[in-house]
Amino acid sequence: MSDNAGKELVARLRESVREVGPREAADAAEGGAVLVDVREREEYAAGTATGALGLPKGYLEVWAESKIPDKKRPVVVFCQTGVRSLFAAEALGRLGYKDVRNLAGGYRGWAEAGLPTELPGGPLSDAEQRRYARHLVIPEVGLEGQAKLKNARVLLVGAGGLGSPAALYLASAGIGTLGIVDFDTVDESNLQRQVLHSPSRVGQKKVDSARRTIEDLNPFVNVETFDVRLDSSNADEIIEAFDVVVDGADNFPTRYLVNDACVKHDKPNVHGSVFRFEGQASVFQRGKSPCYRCLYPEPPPPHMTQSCAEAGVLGVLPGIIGLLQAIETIKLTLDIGEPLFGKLVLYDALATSFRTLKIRRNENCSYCADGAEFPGYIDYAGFCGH
Amino acid sequence: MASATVELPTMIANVLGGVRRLEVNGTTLQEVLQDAFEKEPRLRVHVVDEHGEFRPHVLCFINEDNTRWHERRDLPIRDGDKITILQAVSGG
Repeated sequence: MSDNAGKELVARLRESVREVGPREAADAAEGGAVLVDVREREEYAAGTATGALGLPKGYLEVWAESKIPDKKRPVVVFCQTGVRSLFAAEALGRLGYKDVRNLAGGYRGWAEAGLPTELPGGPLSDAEQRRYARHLVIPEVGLEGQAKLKNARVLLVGAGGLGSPAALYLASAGIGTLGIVDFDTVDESNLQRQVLHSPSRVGQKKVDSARRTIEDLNPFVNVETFDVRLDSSNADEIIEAFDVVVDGADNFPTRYLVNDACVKHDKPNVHGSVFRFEGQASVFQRGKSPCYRCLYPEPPPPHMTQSCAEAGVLGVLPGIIGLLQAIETIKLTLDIGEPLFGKLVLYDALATSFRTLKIRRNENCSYCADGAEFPGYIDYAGFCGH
Repeated sequence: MASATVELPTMIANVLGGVRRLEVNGTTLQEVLQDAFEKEPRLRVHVVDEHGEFRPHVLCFINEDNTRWHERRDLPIRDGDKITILQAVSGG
């Protein structure tokens, strides 16, 4: 092999790969072509052509078909100067992409031509990129996804058994703003499952204890606390300000209120509920799934139900269900996978069984039916089956 | 006549002395539920109201499918079907 093998290979690729200049590339993108930045993640994060897809050359063959499923769609690849992307263009051709062009001069030429650029990680600092490194290499997350998580506002209703695990993992994962609504104080009997709290916090407000734990865990998370009982007088103001609501309430009146407010404000309601060794989880959103009232039109009469305080709950159980809620929240935020719309997951800890059951909308639901006008909140005050 | 099983949630099993599963017979949902109520008379009040309608906080699935809001009332039951009764729980 000659000492100039590399140069010869580049020269051969230049003959076989169609090359375009920055203006032509921009016109192609305007006409529907996808711009693909094949540089390393750090280079991409420091600035790229506006709208370009980050697909590092090392992962190109693995990710290309999931990121660009239409192989007839024109593709314009670029690197920093236009050499590495020649190899990427050839690889895409081998994968079956029909119209692959290389941006001569690369990103440098694009920027020098005054064409639009952007920081795809948006507000993510270097420290955040180090923290979320294992997310950034997942194609379904990446810099764009991590920025979505950072921009997301998630409300946790309850900082208890379900809210605790959900809060810990959502905070660790980089949800930018976590709202927590809870009026209660930490009690010794909470500590068997409410892992946000600790013995030194007994007697403190749960929202304050939660804030300290979350801020220790991830200082990049903004915590907004609401030291109130969620009720019909404050539900609109609180819920409207968030993108996703995680229902970790411990009583039926709050669960119906959360449902009704989420329907009213068109927010996804990530549901979880537990009893002893059994848990349920689903995701409700108007127009996409049944709502909680389609599932259970009314709460049980007090003599037909028991609360965790009365009947007990295995401490680990809300950990499992709360984390299902956290994962559904991440999926909704990233718009990936299949959320639990129209499905109810049942977990039976004693049988170690997960079942996914299909649930139906009530087409005449007074809250979520097509065209239904919001009928107002129902006051379940006096309902004692908490 | 088909043989099916009815599975009950802990909340209801508690009031039946721990019974979590019943073997039942019938050709429709109504028939197998009636068989279940005859085998465990205390079950009826927890599942249906005085008109025989499922209580609003109770769900009934045939295998993986919810029967609530189904157009048909006399849903057929086949050999080996699993009828799952669920109820809303509030714990969090």
